[in-house]
Amino acid sequence: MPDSKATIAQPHTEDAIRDWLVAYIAKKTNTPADDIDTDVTFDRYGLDSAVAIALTGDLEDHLGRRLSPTLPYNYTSIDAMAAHLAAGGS
Amino acid sequence: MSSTEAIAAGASAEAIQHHYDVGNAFYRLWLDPRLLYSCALYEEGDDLERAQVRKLDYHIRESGAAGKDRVLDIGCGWGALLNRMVSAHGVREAVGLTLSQEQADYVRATARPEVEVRLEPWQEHKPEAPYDAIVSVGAFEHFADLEQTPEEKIEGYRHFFRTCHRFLKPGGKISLQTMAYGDMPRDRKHSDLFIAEEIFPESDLPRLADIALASEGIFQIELVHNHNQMYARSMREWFDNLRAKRDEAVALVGEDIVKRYERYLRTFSYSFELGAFLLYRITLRRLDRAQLT
Repeated sequence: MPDSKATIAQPHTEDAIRDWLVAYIAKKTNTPADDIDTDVTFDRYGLDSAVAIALTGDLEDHLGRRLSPTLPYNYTSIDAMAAHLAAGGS
Repeated sequence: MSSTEAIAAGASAEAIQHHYDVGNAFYRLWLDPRLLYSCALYEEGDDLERAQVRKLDYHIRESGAAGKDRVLDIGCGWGALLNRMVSAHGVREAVGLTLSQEQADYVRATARPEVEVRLEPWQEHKPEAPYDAIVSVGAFEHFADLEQTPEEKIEGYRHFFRTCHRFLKPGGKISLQTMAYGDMPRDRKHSDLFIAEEIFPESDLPRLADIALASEGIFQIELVHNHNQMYARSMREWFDNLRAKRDEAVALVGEDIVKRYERYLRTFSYSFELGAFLLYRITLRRLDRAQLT
């Protein structure tokens, strides 16, 4: 059997996904990344449904897999979403 | 070649249009072979193409068009519904209206002889004789714009239904398919103006109540389906098809247009899945003693 290790992409760890989300929310809300609190709900940052939908689409491209648009409604903080996605959730 | 070079070299009008119109070739990359650009009707085991044909047959059946003399398709697109009526359902004369020159040219070049396409809005259509049935799929979305008050919107829709009443024989039916607003507060402004400005300029969507009010006393509503999950799926299939043909699409229309369509298709797919947008298929029967005031 050929060695398949070389073709497997680097896994998206919980930490890596959390960092990506912090950077994303920081940019969308013009907030320094250090001021983003990962365990408060997204609506505290003024994210509306249009941004929630855009976030889900950009996350699909980042992770390379299909996600549900209910994601930001069911996992309402950066920590909750990162844990869910790192565990393979959609 | 840049546009300046093309003009300097004396490019034909066709060449300029080919360069600037998004065009049929782009849609051909990601729609089904019949170029159906509206929600499909899925049953178990259907792929996109099969579900699109099922949608055509649904509207022909619901409008009562099968075997009839004259049927009108308002917003006929690339003519697939017109062709299906005359080829598979025994309609003797199928008339289609469109506002798109590219679509009209395409239908003229490809459709069967029993099909007539007219480049005119329904407001200006003068039928030679009444119609037995009317179908309208994916056109109603463009009958209102964002500047109108709720009253003006309903009056505009009512004008459409009055016009259909005038076009139809007694007892005739409309099978109407349209996107609509669902779980979205009435007072909410469009926070994502990208959709309004870049994808559907000068268009606003109806709500079910608008359609009910606008048709009251002119048509009776026989059947209403909401198939929002089917539109989520159609949009996602188009998105996946476009992604699979991305390099070809970029070569044809450029990166910016491809990005715009990717964003639109995925955003709409999500919005239908969440129920912010709904997809109605509505059957309306002409009231023959209508008060047409």
